[in-house]
Amino acid sequence: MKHAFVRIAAAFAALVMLGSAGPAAAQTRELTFWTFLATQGTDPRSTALRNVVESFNKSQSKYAVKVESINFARLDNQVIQATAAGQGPDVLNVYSDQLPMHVAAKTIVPLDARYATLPAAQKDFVFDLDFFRFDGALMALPWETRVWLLWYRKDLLDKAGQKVPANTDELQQVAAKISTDQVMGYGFGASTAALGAGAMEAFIPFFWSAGGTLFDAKGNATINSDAGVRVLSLYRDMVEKTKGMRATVSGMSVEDGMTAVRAGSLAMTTMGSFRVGAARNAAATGRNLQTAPVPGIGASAKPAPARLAGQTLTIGANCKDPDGAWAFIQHYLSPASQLEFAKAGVMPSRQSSYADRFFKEDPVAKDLLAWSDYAKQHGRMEKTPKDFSKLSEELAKAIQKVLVQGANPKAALDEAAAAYNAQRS
Amino acid sequence: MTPGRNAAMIGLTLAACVFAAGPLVWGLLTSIKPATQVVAYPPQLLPTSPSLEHYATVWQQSNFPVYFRNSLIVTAVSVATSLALAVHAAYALARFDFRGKSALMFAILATSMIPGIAILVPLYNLSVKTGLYNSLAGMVIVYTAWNVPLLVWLLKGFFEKVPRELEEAAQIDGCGPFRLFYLIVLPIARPGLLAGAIMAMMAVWNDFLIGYTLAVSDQKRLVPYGLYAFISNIGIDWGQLMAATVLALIPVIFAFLIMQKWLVQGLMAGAVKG
Amino acid sequence: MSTMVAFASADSAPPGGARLPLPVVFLAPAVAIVFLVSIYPVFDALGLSLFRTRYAEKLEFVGLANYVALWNDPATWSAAVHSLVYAAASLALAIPLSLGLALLLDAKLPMRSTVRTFVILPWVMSQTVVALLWAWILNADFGPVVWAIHQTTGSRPAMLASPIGAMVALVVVNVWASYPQATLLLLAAVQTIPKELHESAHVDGANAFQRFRYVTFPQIKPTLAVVLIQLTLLYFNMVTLIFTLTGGGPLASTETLAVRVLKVSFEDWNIGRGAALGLVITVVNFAFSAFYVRVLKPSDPGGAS
Repeated sequence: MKHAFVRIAAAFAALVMLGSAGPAAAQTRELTFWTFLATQGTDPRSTALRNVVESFNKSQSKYAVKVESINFARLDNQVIQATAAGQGPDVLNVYSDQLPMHVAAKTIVPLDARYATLPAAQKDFVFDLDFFRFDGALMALPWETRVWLLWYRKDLLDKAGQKVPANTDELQQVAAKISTDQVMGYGFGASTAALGAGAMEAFIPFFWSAGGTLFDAKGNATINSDAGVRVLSLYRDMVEKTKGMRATVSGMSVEDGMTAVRAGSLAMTTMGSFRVGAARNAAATGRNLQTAPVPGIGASAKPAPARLAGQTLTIGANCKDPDGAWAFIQHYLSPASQLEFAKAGVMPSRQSSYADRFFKEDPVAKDLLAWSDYAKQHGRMEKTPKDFSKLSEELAKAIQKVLVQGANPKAALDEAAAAYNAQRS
Repeated sequence: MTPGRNAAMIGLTLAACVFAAGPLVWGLLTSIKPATQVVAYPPQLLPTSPSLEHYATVWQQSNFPVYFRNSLIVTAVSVATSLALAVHAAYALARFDFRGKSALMFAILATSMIPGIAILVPLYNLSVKTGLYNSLAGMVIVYTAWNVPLLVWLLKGFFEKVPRELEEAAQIDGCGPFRLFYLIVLPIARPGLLAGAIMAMMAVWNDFLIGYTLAVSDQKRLVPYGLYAFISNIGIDWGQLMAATVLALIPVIFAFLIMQKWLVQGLMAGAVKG
Repeated sequence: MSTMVAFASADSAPPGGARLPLPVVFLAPAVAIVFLVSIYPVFDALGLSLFRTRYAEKLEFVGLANYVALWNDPATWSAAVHSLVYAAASLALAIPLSLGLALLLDAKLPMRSTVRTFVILPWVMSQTVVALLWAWILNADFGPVVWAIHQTTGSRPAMLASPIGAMVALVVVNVWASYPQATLLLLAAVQTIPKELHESAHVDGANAFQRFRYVTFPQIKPTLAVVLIQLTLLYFNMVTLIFTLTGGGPLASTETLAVRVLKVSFEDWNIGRGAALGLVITVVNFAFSAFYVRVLKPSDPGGAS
């Protein structure tokens, strides 16, 4: 028995050492970079990220960036938790919609002083940077541009002899014609997973096209306007009348929708440009997945406004070495890095990046240019409040009520807007 | 027994086995299907060309091995530590009388009734204050503390059954109290230690909330939260997710198979604990 | 007991009161860690629940305002209803199921131990694994269950998308994950019943139901009570399974009180209110437990053996 205890004690000690031992840091200072992107796996953006980080680490000897990948739905939470614990990241990736939350939770610091040092040529962002200013302070810089698009499976549309819908009247007809037991014509992630982000993202382009605005001047939600009712009525009609969509979308997350498109069980959806590269990465999907501007509402001759958003980089409140963090951000925004991501299907955030030869030659680039044109002609941005996800969640619930419980669209939206507005005060 | 009744019994037994093992079998089959067959409708039961590609991806191209190692370390260390602590406390409670003993026993029992979810935020704060946030040691300490009450109750029952005469005889032979405990009493309580070990092991290996709340970095993640890595914003790779799930089950199924017979005793103690 | 006094190491023992040292040495580490990790946090939560918070920051003292806000929040009450429905429906399925399986496993079966291993297999699975496994089985696009229903009824069900469907699915999954431990405990109880009792009842002409009613049931009643309360607490405090499978949706229809603690604390970032709700749940747990101690009283509370 004594021997057994000695053995256990030795094993214990060994395990504790195994757990705490880390690589000794030599001269280089380690910078932690937290992002939703993985450095491994099948997403082409992962390869791009790996290359960008590796090239930064090789380009100088002062800093070594270490990537920490965190599930996209949990990243912001974990940043807030860790920063309050004094263990937040040096550099972090924040999605533009989530910036207000990070500003309120004090997890990030302003970049103005450093931004001022940039030469004018490096300030050529596609975005109006006011989008990233809070109380006058620039809180982040975008490294990516995204728009929402109509995704469609060309093979499924061709098989049914249908052409790409230009407005929602056509969308309704085409969806109905493609739908079979195996295939849903049109659908989107309307579940409350990820706090209803999927529902909001699919809703906004139609809603804007119908003339709606999300908030009034006081910041109260106005999704219950006629425009909102029109969109939800469209969803309801597609489920109940024309059968181009199924009520199962209420339980579908964005990821489910993505999986379904890749597998060919969903023919059309509204989804972001940034996911196209990854979706095409499946052998069976490939170029069968095509994109078009989001159809305008009703019989509209114009496509819906292109909602612009983007992933940003910024310096964390716990950052130990802001100079190093800034150096990495600059590297991440450099033309070479932007090109890496462009090859993975990501729209660059700087104008000059589009001048590269790649955009004239590569087939991937054709899509990027088409999206960028859509963004230029119909692009629209609306700053979101810090509790935006609350509104998204309420909207998702309203959609679910209409599709599953047969609620009246107006009543459901009134309730959603009221619930959001009530918690604001 | 009539033949008809016999057939009915066998039918029921088969149904019970299918009900119990069916979902796992489905997951297992999914994990060896080629990617295109995973997402097929109507679903196909058997893989056309079974392959281990998802396992290879999970093991070689994701951080899963790190989560696995972390979970092994945290489970092993916390089970060993909680057994070491509990075995002493249980012996003291079983063999000695002192003032406040019943109050102490009640307090130990009561702490096991505090739901983990209720003290998650305080534990997070505590780990931050003590510098144990985002460390395996912090998780080990919490799991150890959570296992101790159950183990104390379980082991106390075993020590109470050890005949007093045995200890008295050893004492007459000049055996000191510590030697008596480690050399005579402890070996007798072996079944209790094993029952406690399997209960504690399952509790730690399977817990999600502590790993989710007390660790943030990829290098410190445990398996249950690590499974979320396969749900990404580019879709859920069900083949890989099921492969990872099967891998996550291997240690517990293995432990379960070899320690099954101690399990009932452990569960009985759990019944007392609540 | 007096013989034990001699155990105490002489150097640390105060003269005359030589009873304490060994127990103190043996108990102190366990008590210390339990105090630090289980008791202290309850008081910390109590403190936190009296403050207004913003993200991870503690702001000003607000007294019982968080509790009042919880009381006035309809979401609290609907979550309480969901907790109740979830626990009651799960119990209503799990108890008969595990009792039936316990009786089945007690009978003379071919390969009984293999069957037993199979039947209690789900016990080893974590709530995360169970949720992910079933999320895949219930998947609306590629899942076998949806396909089977589609084949028999001709329509594809929106199981996890409808409030009732999601609750039903959740209860079924929960029962699947939790019946093994109940089955094992009940099986242990059933096996302690002397065979002669059954045989004499048989001779007296009692049929199978009567034999269960008058022989088996009275003998396993205490175990049944234990199982009942054990499962009730398990269901009431369950977070991970629900959180992973439905996230509390759709329409918050599966948001129980325990899930709400997590959401209020870490999704709405109102940790003060989350702490308050957590304490309310703790109190409910103690109420259940008090009831449980009363049920158990006639038997030995240390009956682990």
